[in-house]
Amino acid sequence: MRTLCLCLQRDATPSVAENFLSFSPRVHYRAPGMVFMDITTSAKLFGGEKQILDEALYVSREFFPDTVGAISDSPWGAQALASERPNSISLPTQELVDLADAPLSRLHQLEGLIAWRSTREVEDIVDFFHMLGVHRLNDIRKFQVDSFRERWQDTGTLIWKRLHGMDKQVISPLLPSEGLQDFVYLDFSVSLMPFLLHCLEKSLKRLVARLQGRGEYARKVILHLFCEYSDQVHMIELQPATPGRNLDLLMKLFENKLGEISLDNPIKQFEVEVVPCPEKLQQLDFFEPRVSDHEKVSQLVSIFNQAAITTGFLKAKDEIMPEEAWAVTPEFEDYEPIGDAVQIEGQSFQIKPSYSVHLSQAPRPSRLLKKPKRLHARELDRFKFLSAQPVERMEDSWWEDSRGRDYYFALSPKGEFTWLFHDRIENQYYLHGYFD
Amino acid sequence: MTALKTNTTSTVTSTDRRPAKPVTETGFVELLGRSNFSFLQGASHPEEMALQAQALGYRGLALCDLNGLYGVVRGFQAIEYPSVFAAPQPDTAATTPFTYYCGAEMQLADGSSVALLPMHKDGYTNLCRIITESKRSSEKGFSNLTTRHLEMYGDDLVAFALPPWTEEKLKKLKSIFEDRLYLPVWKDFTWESLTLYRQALVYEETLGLELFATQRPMMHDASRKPLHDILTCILHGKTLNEAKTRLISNGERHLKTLPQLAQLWSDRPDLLTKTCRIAARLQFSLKELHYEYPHAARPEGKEPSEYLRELTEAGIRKRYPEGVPAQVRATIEHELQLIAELGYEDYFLTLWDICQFATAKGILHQGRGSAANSVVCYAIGLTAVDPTKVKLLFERFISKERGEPPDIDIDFESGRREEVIQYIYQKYGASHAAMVCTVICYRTRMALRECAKVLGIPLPVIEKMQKFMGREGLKRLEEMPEQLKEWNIDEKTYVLLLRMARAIKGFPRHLGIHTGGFLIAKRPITECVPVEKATMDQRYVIQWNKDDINVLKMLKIDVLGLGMLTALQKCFEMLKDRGIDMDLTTVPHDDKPTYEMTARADTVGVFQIESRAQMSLLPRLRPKCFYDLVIEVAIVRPGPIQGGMVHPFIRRRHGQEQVTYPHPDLKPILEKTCGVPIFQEQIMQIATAVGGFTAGEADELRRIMSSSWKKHDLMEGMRQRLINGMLNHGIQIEYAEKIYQTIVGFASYGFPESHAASFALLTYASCYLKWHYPEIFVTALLNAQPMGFYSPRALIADAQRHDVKFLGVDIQKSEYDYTLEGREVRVGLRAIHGLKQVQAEAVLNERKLNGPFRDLTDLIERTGIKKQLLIHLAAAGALECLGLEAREALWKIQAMCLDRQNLFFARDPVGDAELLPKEDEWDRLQRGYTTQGYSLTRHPMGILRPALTGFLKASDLPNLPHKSPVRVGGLLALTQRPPTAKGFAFLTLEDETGAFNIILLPQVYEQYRLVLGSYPMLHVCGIMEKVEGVINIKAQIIKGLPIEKILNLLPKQIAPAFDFSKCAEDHSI
Repeated sequence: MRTLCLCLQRDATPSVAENFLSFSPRVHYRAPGMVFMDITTSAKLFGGEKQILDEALYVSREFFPDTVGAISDSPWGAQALASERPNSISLPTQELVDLADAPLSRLHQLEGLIAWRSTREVEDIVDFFHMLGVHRLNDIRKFQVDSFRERWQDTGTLIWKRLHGMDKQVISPLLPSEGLQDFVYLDFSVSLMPFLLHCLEKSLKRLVARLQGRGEYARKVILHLFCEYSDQVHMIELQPATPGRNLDLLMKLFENKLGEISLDNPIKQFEVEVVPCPEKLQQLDFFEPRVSDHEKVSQLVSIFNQAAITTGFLKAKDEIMPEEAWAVTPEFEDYEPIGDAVQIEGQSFQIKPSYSVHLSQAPRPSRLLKKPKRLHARELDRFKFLSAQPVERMEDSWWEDSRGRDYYFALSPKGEFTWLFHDRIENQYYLHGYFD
Repeated sequence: MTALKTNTTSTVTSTDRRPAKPVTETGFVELLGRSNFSFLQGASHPEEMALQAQALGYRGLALCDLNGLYGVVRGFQAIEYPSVFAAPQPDTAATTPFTYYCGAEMQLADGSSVALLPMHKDGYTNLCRIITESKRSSEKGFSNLTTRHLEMYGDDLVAFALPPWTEEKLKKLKSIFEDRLYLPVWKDFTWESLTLYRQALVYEETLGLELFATQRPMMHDASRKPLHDILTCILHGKTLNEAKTRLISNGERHLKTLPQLAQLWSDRPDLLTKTCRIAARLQFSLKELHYEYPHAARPEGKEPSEYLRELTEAGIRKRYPEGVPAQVRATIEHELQLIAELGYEDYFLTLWDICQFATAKGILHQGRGSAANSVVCYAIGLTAVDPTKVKLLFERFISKERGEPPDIDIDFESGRREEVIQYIYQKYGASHAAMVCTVICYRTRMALRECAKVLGIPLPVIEKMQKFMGREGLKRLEEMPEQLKEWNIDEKTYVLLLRMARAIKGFPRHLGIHTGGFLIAKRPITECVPVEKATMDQRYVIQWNKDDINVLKMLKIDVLGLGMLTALQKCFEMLKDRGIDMDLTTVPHDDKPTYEMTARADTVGVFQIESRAQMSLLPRLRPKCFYDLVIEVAIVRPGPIQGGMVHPFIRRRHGQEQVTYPHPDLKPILEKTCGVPIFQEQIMQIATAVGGFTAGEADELRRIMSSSWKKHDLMEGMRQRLINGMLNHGIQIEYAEKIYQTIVGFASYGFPESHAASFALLTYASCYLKWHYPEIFVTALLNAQPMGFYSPRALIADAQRHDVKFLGVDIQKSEYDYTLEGREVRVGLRAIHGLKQVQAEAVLNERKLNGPFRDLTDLIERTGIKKQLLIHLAAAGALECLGLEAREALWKIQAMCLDRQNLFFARDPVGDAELLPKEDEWDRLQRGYTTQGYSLTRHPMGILRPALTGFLKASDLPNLPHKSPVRVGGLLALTQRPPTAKGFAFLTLEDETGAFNIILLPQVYEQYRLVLGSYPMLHVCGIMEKVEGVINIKAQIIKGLPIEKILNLLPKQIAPAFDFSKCAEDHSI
């Protein structure tokens, strides 16, 4: 079996194998970062082994710039060759000749579709032979199979077999089963459209590559943008008139849609989901429901979003500053505040206190202003403070942008029971909420 | 702004509780102070808490750390015995009487806490018992306390019930503590404190409990809030961004000013004054801890002074068989009188008892430290240096004025120290003896690592930073390195990281065991200090370290381990086998060849003078008598080096410079060291004679010099005092600065004369043995490993240069240790890496019992040896005597079945051995290095030499003129970069003829420092310097030697290095 092995040089998700389905239906991914393809029959379609290797490297390097590869008679041979002589091709039946002068440490790569059970075991074999003055793969081929079996049992036998081209590994056809989703956590939060588009493009590129391999089109693309300074989530749904996988078109559409969104609250992470359809559309069954309940809810949420109405459940969060201490979640979730961490060992215990756990019990206004309203001296004069000393003092984020506030209860000129704070850094007063 | 000034808690204001006077007059005591000895739950040192409270005009402060009394002594010392060099306190502190209280906040198994403070000594004992009970069976950092313990030991203690409160629990505590139970309330601008305050007011009404105001301070100043947050993150293993509500929501939990407190508690000022009333009930002070030494060491009915005199008399007759000199007699009388006056007899008797045990068991030991000043110690066998011969000062050891306990450190053979420790436990009882702790504090590397983790810096980056930092500490990082971009850290985070790492440095992390400090007491130790379980099994430590013990004037003994004593004892035993009876006291004195050897710096392996720095000084100093060795031992230390005293001393000693004294009063002090201060005592005497220091201040100076904590804070105050004093005596500012620098150096490390004298004795003994019995000396050193400066490889290479012959490891002849076969040294099985003593001894026992092994199968059948062990032996060449070449043996053994139940047990496996390549000399050498760390056959440089053109050998250098350019290569034996060397680094390379001393200038080191860690063999180009017989090479270029490449240049030699057929005949039975 002629095998093309790509070493991506970094770990990837198994779905990366889908990118290479266009090279062969028999593709196998093995962690960390190894892709094997059976190209026995498909190489001809690309004009030969050199061409298919070049093409596969080109596709892979789009995402994994350090990828190296090799073609040989077996998956383990191709893997070892990719490390020993990157991007080379061993002629049929020449695999062992090409690896003859390789150092003994190449035994580590002589694994193919299934990784060695224990690298330590192989390391011991390598060390042992080194101690005996044997340093090349070819030198250990001279020993009999019994010598290997007696010393290293199954692993020894397997190594001997591989060194004599007697272990066959078969790559089965790949049936894609993973969802076409991509989740990106940005290294730094993004509030500029070009940066966001740049990141999004990379993500879409990965998905389009998978679509390409799977021979599918995108029927719908859904983008969720998660903001940094609150739990606000922007959702954009694209449904091109004609399903396709034209990256430029998708990017253009997203650019238009993103233009409608304010990025004042920068984006920290996003999620892209592609709803695929076959390249050739199949006719839907007559009785098949066209719109599911879930989709109806989504549509409703979408309408609310367009009207700038946030939907969801309020959930308390373990944050010190009040405006960060809650979030809107789409589903109802139980809240268990962070408490003291108690470690128990036998009869003994150790308590690691959480000092501000009480914050979840403290009174908070039923109407908390999303953005505290700055009070000018004249406005402030009309408020009646109910205490001389602050009810609460909160300090936070000194390692980023220091925040220090003294909270007071006060009656507004209209007699409303309000919550004000004095920003101790800016020396400025703000109205932050109303109690019932 | 015209805000309504209404207090939220105005409803609880009660005018009848308002005292007539404001708090500034009535006073306030903070009863719930907490320091960083609450381990990651407090952000200030105990001293900072105590001094800040005093400075704010409080009437007192009680330090109540979590589950222990770890930090109480430090706060106590800061208040009761402030350093004379400490910064003066503000006026308020001077006018307000201040009392320091101690206590502990104990966490109970139900999640609540109760703070306990002793009213009297009995209460303190109970508190110690409670803490010990909670800690004795718990792992480090854990505790186990229930109200049952409080019921048992709650007498004479005041208790503060800490939230969460329930009526039931408070009633329970009330039944235990009655009117000694109080509820603390505080206002830190959190909703929690307000809620608890309201709850407490209810309990005040319903249960009749008394409340008092506290700040529950976790730091002395609000500026420590960021540091507290960092500590909280470390405690929880979270980053700052992850910590969220685990952090305190503000920085209010600190010590506030009295006006601030008055304003805060304007609704209930009585709660502030209540603190003074509670404090008045706390009558206990740590000063009351009267410590009694055990009587176990003397016979029943015998008075301690009488018994000590008897022992001294007996000992002195033995020490001076030709009659006790009058001067010695007079000194003994003086010492015994002073010892009796201060009541230290039992302390001496205990030490004597321990040394007697060691002598009886043949464990070599020697006292050091200031004890070497005492003739009594010499007489009863605690020390081996005759103090009258080196003119030491007894007052340095014990002084009536100083009122401090004597400090006697005794070194025992490191390998047998455990026997001594077990004896102490057995003789004095586990409840009367416990080890002193050492407080492990955050050092630079750990501080940086922990703070970086908290700031969310990835681990690989932290490791890179630590590597970049090297031994330079934060200094190198502070220069904003170019690597900042590579590490991907923004400048703000980086600055923050360094600030936090600096702040956290010196904060306690956990307790460790002191290397050998024991506290032995007549009464159970838990009556005066809590005891807790140490990490080491069956070991218990007290919650105080050696400095704390000193402050409280308690006597500790140091049972230390010293590798050289093990080696010397082994030497003496081997000499006994040759019919020579020798011990430390009978090593022939003033042996000329021994001093000649030291003058040649031929001192690899000997005690103390084997380092590069010592070796380069020896040819210049040229020791000729014992006192020269005392000076040699003391002079290469940071104290004299930093003070620039080394070169003037050498020049003056050889008459190249006139001996002068900056002041006539210094002549008697510095006369014996050519006018140059070398010993710690001299510094103290200088400070008194010309620095205007009183005896007390000079003693404080000594304490600072030898204390392990906080000393540098006091240095500046001391500097001013010293320099002003010396200027007043007409001494030049330059000399005064030099003396100060010497003191700074001594603060890092410096020897008192007595200590140097004790060490010099071991130095002399080791030199004598090395010169006269080199094979015995190296055998003993190798058997005492790990110890000393050099690896077994370097020791063997040195011995080989002294014509000592070594025989390879041999399963038929080797013992576990290295042994002597006539004048030759047989390598022992202990040399083989990965071989455990128990495994080896099983094989050796079988050989002793039933004779040599016939062959491999016989060995396997008779010993039931494990395959891994057999492989170790084969790889080391130990089976060559059975006619098996190492590779062949390995190949065979790897395939053999060693399971006795198996049909194929020990059966010869399939052949193929003929396919193995023959071992050449380099292979053999390499195998030796892999299995033993050295090879006895040839030096690797000897093999590579034919391919190295233009490389000089170590033996070539003496023939070259000064300043010759040289190119050398060798095996890297030693790399040193002492902090006192101002960035210079020193390498020792080794070739087949000797060693090269390489000096790297700071810029050369910076350029090549990564090369040093990457290659085992180096190639150095530089300039050779020859000064006063000392040869050094000043390196210019350093490269790794490309071994593979050089080997390829060598002619192929496949000849076997060993005649195996001959071996097989030798051992045929």
